[in-house]
Amino acid sequence: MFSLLSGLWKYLFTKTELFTLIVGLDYAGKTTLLEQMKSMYLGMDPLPEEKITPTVGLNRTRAHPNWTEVLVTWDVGGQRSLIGMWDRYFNEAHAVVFVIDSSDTVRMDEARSTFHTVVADPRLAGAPVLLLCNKMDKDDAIDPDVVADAFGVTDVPDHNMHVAPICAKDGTGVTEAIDWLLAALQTSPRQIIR
Amino acid sequence: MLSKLWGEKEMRILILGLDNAGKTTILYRMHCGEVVTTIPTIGFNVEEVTYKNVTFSVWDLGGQASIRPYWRCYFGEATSALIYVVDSSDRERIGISAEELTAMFEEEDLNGVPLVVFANKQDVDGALTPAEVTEALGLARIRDRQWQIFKTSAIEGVGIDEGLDWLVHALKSK
Repeated sequence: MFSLLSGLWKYLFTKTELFTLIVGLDYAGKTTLLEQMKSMYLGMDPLPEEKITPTVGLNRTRAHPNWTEVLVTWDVGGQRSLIGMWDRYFNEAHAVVFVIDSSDTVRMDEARSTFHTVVADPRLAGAPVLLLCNKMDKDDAIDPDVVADAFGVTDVPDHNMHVAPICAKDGTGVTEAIDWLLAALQTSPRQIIR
Repeated sequence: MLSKLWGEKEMRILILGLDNAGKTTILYRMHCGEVVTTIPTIGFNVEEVTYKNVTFSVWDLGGQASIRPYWRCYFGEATSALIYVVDSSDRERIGISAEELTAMFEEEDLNGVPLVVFANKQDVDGALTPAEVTEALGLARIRDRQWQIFKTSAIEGVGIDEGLDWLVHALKSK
């Protein structure tokens, strides 16, 4: 009887954990995005921008966007020496968020090639990919459609892909983007073996 | 719950690492902002540290091989955070340091506790970079806790405040 009840309890209240990995070049705004998510889903005060230092480590948050799911988000460092460590997380990630600084034309090509290295990795097969064009508040930010073209997102096989403009600093567009991600995760064919 | 409301919860931080990594120097840097002359710690040093209106009791535990087994006597529910100090100039013993850290991840009492790694002695020529220390310690395997590595020079007072800034925020958002 007890096991029956505890089974029912677990069935009703155990939440599915969905793991999302945030990557992108340094200064793209990954940690700022994570702080914005903490503020949106957990009601925390976001860390002021000037307090955010380049990440050499792992920041994470557990958000509860609905009753049945927990969105666990990992934010890792994007400095050149750290990019090689991203793949340690690939096997366990249900989805990938790739953040770019839309105003950084100098490093756009570097961002593009890094993006393609990530989405081509077989360990991420089938994972939904959200390409976030950050810093849209800046005057010189490139239009997301132009970025989508330049990145050739329509030519990437095996991924449900979405490009969205955001401003992580004030949160513009973040809710819509995360909503897309949650919906994409519902229909994702990707199986994670933990 | 009530103690949370009144803000009386003790925040205990443990400073761990091999002997001669610089733990005691870091503790007193945090406590009084000065470099003190230290001798190898047998037992522990404990000081109250107030940083940005948050008061911690910071425990610096001796790091010699013979006394490392006693670290776990200080784990327990009251431990809010770990500071792990690495002598970045000691390439020979980085593997031992990694083993000690990995052993701590097995401790249930420390589940989910944020980890700050100080890649210390960056003032020494040829010191390992934070990325190299990350690799050597196998930090990329961590999933269930937030962690961050900072390059520090306890002697020169570099990097410690940045680490504490991150830690204070991480503790709020745990």
